[in-house]
Amino acid sequence: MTSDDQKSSGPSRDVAQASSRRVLRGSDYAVALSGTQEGDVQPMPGFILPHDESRASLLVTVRATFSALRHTQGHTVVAQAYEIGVRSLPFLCLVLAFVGGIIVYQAGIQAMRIVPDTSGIGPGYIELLVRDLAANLTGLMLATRVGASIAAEIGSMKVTDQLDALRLCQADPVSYLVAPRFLACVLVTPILTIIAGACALGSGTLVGALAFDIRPQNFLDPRFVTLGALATGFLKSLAFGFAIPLVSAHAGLYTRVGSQGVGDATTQAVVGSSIAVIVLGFFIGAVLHVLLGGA
Amino acid sequence: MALFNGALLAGLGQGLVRVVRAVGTQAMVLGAATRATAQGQCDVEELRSALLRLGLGSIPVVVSTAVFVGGLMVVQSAPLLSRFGAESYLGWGAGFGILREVGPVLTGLMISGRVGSNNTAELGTLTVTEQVDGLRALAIDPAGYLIAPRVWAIILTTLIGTVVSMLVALLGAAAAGLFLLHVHPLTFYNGLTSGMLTWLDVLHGLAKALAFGVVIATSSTAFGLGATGGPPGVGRAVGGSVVATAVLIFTMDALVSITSRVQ
Amino acid sequence: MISLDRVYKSFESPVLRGVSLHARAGSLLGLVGPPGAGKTVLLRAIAGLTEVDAGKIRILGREMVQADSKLRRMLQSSIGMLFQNVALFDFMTVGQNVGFPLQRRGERPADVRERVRVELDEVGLSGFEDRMPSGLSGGQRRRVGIARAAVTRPPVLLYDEPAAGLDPVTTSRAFALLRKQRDRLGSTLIVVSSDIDRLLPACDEVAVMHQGRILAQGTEREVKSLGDPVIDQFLEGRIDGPL
Repeated sequence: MTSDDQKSSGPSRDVAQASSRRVLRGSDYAVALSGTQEGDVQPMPGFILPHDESRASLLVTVRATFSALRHTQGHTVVAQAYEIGVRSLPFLCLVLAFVGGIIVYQAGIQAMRIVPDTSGIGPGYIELLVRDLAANLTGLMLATRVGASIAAEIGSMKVTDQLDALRLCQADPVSYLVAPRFLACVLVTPILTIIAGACALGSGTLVGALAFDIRPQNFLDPRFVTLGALATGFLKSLAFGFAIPLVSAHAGLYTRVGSQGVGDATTQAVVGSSIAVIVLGFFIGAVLHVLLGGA
Repeated sequence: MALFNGALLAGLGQGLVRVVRAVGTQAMVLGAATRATAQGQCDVEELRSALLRLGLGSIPVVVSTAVFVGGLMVVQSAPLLSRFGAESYLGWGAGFGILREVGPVLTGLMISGRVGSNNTAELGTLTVTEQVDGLRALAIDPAGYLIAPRVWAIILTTLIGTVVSMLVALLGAAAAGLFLLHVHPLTFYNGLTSGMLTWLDVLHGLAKALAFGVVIATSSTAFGLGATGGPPGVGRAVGGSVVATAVLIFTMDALVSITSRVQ
Repeated sequence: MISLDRVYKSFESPVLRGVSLHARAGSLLGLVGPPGAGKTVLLRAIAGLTEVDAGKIRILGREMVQADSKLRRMLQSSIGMLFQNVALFDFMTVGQNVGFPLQRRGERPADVRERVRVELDEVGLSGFEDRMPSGLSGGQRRRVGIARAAVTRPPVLLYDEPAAGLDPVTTSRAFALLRKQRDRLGSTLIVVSSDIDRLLPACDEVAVMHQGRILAQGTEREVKSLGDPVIDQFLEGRIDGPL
């Protein structure tokens, strides 16, 4: 009846459809997030985040996240894990398949150039994949995709004061938003790494067969893969799962107000997460190489 | 399980449509930039400021990443080389990887993250606050004022950044080779210049850098100008642009690698 | 009930310069002033969301400034706030938004649903429980925000522009609702509004704020009788004057 009640966006029909579609997804998501079981509301640690934003530091966010882990509810983590995992999977598999194929192709060409013996390509590729490539590439791509989305989500909530509204309702943003995403990332990253690695394996085998006539049985030879290689790859993917959500959530929590704030926070998250992946990848690889193998 | 497969396929299909649409838009952006420049409307002031902001601003990121990328290359190939006692090949191996593959791709990804997102964020903000429309109202063609300067600045930045990053990465690789594999820098240098790597390999890398630069410039511009819905919309545009650019970078990488069977 | 004593806050430049304020228990205090006066920052400071540089803020007899997390939590659970940009949670339905504060306290779902229904009724949005905030108009979102602020029947209510973007009829209903909250619940309200004509009749006292300071606080008559040119120009909405 009131004259101001015009929809603030788009044609009414589309908005209504979108709303009703969102209702199902939104409610499920919100149920998972806010939990409506009786008596499962734990008192929040409260106000782990400094109010004074000039005291913001990544260390504070990390400490806050870890102390919030105790109170995190399982279904929130599952909801986030689904979001992160399912949304990133197609993109990941595509990229890893591409890169895997290219690497085998390049390696094959070089091998033909130097010693026309292609028997080492398969085993060498598999070892590289397990130890390094799958984890590094997955980490880099997740830094881009998941980092951007975490920062954009939390950042949007910050600039629209939703984080403050949460605080006032006794729901500390770190416990409520960051901790579930953190745990979900830690859990999901190794799994995604394995799946994407399998895609790269498949495409590598294909290229080996099509371009260099390497028979799959000969290609898929894991004789070079050591326990150390497995450990390196796994540790890397775990470390990336740790670093990406922390860096991105931090960028989101301290988004600056203004139209460009969320965009800048997303940029900071992508760049920061990517650098973390590269640096961590190098250090873990170097340390494990020294400990296990050479030098 | 069937539902999961269906959802995956649908997701893939949707993704493909999005990519095709994105590529078309990017072609338009490149066309607009070229047209405006050909008509002499590329704003020189904006070009200079974009080069400073985007170009200079990306140097720290590119350099710091390149050092570790070089080290990473060594770490990655270390077991292989140790096994075959082929440490002397490190120079060639690292050089090959860095010049042809990892250098351009990783630099491309980092520049997309740093410069591309920044560009999307800026243009996105201008779009959602309707300042781009405001430009048109003042009879200033956005193509010459906004698009062309940024596109050229980003392409230039990517090219120069890739050259810098390749040099720094080689240095990083040499350092890592020294500390981890005890490969003397001279051996590394010999391996590099032994003749198995030629200027064609460098050209290969630069060609990729050019392709990536175009992709980053057009993609970030297209996403930025298409942002809707306030600050959250800007964030969404940045996220979408980074992901799309990454996919395109890898696609271009595959294309260039496969079509240039230059030995 | 709520008293501020010489509160200072700077970001890059001073925003609050020695604000002193007092709201009696069970009263409605209107906070008005030109844009940039610092009203929103002041409300956030009272709610303990922004830490101030100096001064005292006493709420319900306890000190908010530099309160430790337990005390702060206790104080904040007694405060309901409507934010300037409403700040509804995008990922929840209207019903879940309004019920969220109750849920955080561990109320039973059936009780929560009932209270949500009552509150939505009060703001004239019955049956909106399953709608998503993105599908609402600006005025509807603001009313949901009012419902969420009041759902726990807090002793302190802070409203930042409760009537922005509302048509005349809904605006009147909103201010009537505020008065009802004061009368029936005995809550203390601080209301920031640029709708001076509607706000002044509704509030017990008004505080005029300008450039980070409170120029005057008192009943409408007292404040107007001071003869301060800034206050007079602002309250009457005249174009010429010091502002």
